Amino acid sequence: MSNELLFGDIAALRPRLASKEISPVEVAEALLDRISHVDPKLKAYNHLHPENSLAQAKKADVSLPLGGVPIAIKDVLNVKDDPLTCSSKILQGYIAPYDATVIRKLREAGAVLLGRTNMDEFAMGSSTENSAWGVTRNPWDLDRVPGGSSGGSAAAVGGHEAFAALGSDTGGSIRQPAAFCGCVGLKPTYGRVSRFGLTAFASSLDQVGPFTKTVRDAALLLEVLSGHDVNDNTSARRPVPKYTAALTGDVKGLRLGIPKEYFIDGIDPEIEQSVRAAIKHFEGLGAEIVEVSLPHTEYAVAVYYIVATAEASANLARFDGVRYGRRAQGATDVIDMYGRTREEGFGAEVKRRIILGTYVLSSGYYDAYYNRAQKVRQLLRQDFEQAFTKCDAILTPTSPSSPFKVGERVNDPLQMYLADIFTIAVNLAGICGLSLPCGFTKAKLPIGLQIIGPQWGEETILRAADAYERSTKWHQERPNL
Amino acid sequence: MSTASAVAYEAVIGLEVHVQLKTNTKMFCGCRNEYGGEPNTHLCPVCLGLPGALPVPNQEAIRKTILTGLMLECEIAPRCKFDRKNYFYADMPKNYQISQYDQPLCLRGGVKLYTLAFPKDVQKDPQANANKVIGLTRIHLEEDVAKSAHYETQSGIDFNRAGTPLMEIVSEADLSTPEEAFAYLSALKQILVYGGVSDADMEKGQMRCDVNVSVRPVGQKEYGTKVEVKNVNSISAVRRALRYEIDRQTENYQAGGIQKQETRRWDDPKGQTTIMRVKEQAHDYRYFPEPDILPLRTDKGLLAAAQADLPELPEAKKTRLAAAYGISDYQASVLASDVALSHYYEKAAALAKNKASVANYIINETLALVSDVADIPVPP
Repeated sequence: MSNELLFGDIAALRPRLASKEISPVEVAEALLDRISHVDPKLKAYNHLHPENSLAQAKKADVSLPLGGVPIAIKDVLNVKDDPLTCSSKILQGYIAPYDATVIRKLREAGAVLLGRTNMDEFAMGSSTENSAWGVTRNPWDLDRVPGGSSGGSAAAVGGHEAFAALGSDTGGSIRQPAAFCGCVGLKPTYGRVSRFGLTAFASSLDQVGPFTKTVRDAALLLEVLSGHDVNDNTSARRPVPKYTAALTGDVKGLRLGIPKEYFIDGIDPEIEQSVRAAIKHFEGLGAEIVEVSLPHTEYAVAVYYIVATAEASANLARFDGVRYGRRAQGATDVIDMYGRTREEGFGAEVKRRIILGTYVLSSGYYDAYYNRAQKVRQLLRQDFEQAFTKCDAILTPTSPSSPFKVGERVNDPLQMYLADIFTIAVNLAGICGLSLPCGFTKAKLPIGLQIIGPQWGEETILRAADAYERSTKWHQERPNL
Repeated sequence: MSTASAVAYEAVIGLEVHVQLKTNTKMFCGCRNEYGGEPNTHLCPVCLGLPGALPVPNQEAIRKTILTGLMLECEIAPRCKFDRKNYFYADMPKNYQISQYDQPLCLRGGVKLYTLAFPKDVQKDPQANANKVIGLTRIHLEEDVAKSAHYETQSGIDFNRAGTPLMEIVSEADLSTPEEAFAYLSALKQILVYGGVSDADMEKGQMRCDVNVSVRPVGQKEYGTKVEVKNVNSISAVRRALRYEIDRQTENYQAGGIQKQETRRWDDPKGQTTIMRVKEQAHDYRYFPEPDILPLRTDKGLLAAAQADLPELPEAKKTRLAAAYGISDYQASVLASDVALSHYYEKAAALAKNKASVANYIINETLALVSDVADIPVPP
C-alpha cells in the first residue's frame, strides 16, 4: 500500500477499495504494520486484536459506505467480546457482552474495527495522563500530551495509525485532542448520536463523535453514526441529512460570529494569531464576519464541574465489585468490599470528581450548587440562542494553549480544567462543534480552530470547515514519526 | 406520675405501599417481568447495570400507573420526571434507583373503606367505619431492586426482580386503628386487582407495605414522634404489627419514656418489633433529575389510553348487581368484593331463573368450600 494512500483520507481510499485496486485485507495489514512500528512510541492503543481485524477485513463489503475502512474505537464504547476498560483498573479483565449502537452502525457500514484506544480514566481529563495503562504521546512531539480525554483516538488518527476513530466528548474530549494532534474532531448536537453502549461519564453532556483526517470524512462518519435509537431515550427522532452533500465549498454570505469573550488574556499569542488569520481567510472566501457576545462564558467551567461531577458520582456508583470488574480481596463485609474495591480500582482524578459530585448533591448543598448550576446552564444556552440570531456559526480557538509537556499540569487540576475553557459551553448548551487544523506554532505543534453551530447545525459547520480545508493545506502536513 | 399514666393515647397511621405492576416487560428494558423463574434468567445489560446501558421507560407501566391514579381519583400530573435516588446496596445494580422525587405521576386521591374490607371479627363493630375515605398523598413510579438470599458463608443475588415496575402509593396519616389499616389495604388491593394493574399478593411480594405510626394523647393536635415499621408481609401482619407498636409506644409514654424517630423491624413469629436504625443514621439520597430519561408529558393520548382501560369499580359493580339481579346489598358486596367471583356469579345468574338463590348458593355453599374463585371446580 502506497504511503500516499496510507496518509490520505477515507474519501481517497474508498474509490480504490471499490475498484478492487487494493483489498481491505491489504489496507488492514498496512495499518497493523504501521501500528507495530509507531505505536510503541505513541501508545495510542490499549488493546489490539489483529487476527480479529483481519477477519473483519476479509469479509468486508467494499460497496458499503465504510466498506473495508479500518477505524479505531475509544476504550469507553462497548464492542462485543472485546475488553472494555475505560483505562481504569476497576474494569480490568471486563469483556463487553454487547455492541454499542454506534459500533453496530459501523459494522453495518462495513467498517473494520481496529482496536481500543487509550483515554483519561472514565473520560475524566484533558491530557490522557489519567490512564491506568500509561500516557499516550502527541504524534507531533513525543514529549507532549495528545490532549484528552480521547487522546488515544486523536493520536491514532493524527499519527496515521487509523483512518478514523471514535471518541466521546463531554466537555471537549474530542475537539481539544483533535486540535492537539492536528486532525478533525466533531462533537455532534446532544441527541444526534446514540449513547447506548457508551460508558457514561456525564449523561446530559456526553456525545459520541468521529476523529478524521479531513472534514469530508467527518461528514461521512456522522452520516453513518447519526439517527434515532430506541435504546436511548435522549436520542432525537429526526431524519439524518446527507451531511456529505452539504459540502458545497461555498460560504458566501455565511455569517460567522466572533465572540469577544473567547479572545482573552492568557490565550497563547501564536494560537490567537492563527485563529485571527483563519477568520480573515473566511472573509476572503466571502463569509460575513460579525461580532457576537456570549456573556456568561466565564461561568461555564464552574457550571461544568458541578453538573458533570454530580452525574458522574451516580454513573460510577455501579463499579462496586459486586457483579463485574475488579473486586478487592480481604474485605470483612460488603461495605468494606465497596470501599476497598473503589479505593484500589479508581485513580486520583476519578475519586476527586466522585467526591466533588457527591458533595454538590448532598442535602443542604443541592440548591447552592447543583440547582444554581442548572440555572446558569440555562443562561449559557440562551447566550448561544441569542448569538445564533445574528450568525450561522461561531469561530473560536479550540484550546487556549498548544499541547503541553507530559507531567506539566498533572499536579495542578485547575490549570488542567482550563484546557477545556473554549469547548465546555458547547456541551452545556447541547449544541454542536468541531475542531480542524488552522496552523502550526513555530515549534511545529498543531493549532485547532473551533467552529460552533446551533442545535442540529452540523451541515453548516461541516460546510464552513470543508470550505476552509479545501482552500488551505494544514491538513496535508504530516508528523515525523 | 399517677396522672401521666391516666392519659389516653390515640394512634396516627400512614402507609407507604409498593405495588409491582403486572406488565409484560420490566420498567426500563425488554426483559420479561415474571414472578418466579430460575434465578438470574431474565437479565440484560440494562437491568444488570452494565457500563453503557441506558433505561427506556415502559409505556405500559406508565399507562397502568395513570389507570391506578384514575381509579383512586388522583390528579394526573400533566408533566412529571424521573429522578435518581442514590445509595449503595448489593441488591441495586446501578447503586441508584430510578424513582420519582418531586414530580410524581399522580397526586392526591383517596381510598374509600367499606364494611367487608375490615377484618371479619370487627365487621359488626361501630369502629368499622365503612364510609371513611383515606386520603392519598401521591403515587409514583420506580424500579424494584434484586432479591438476595443469605446462606451460611455467602449471599446470592437474583436479579430477575431487578427493574420490575413498582408503584409507590403513599397515604396521608388518615388512619387511626390497625383495623382501618387492614381495611385500607384490602380496599386498595381490591381496586388494583379490578384494574388488572397488579395481582397485589403480599405473600409474593407483589404488594409491600411500610408502616408509619405514632401515638399522641387524645386531644393533642401535634403528631407524636413517627416510627417506621418494615418487614410486614401480609395484610393481617400489618394489623398485628400496628397493634403491637401502638401498645408499645403508648406504654412507653405512659411510663414517662421518650420516643426517638426510628425504623423498626416486625418479627411476625415473635409478634414484636425490634429497632433497625435511628434517624441520625438515615440516608441522604442525593436525589437529582435522571438525565437519561426525558421529562414525561401525560398528553391526551396517554390519558385516553388509560381511561379506555377503566373497569367498573367495586362500588359501582355492587350497586349494579343489587339492582340488576334483585339481590341484597350484602350479597352484592360479597360478590363484588372479588372481581373473579363477580364474573362467576354473573355467568351463573345468566343461566338461572332465580338470581338471588344463585347468589345465596355461591356465597353460603361454594365459598365455604374454596377460598379462591379459581379453585371452584365447576363452571358457572
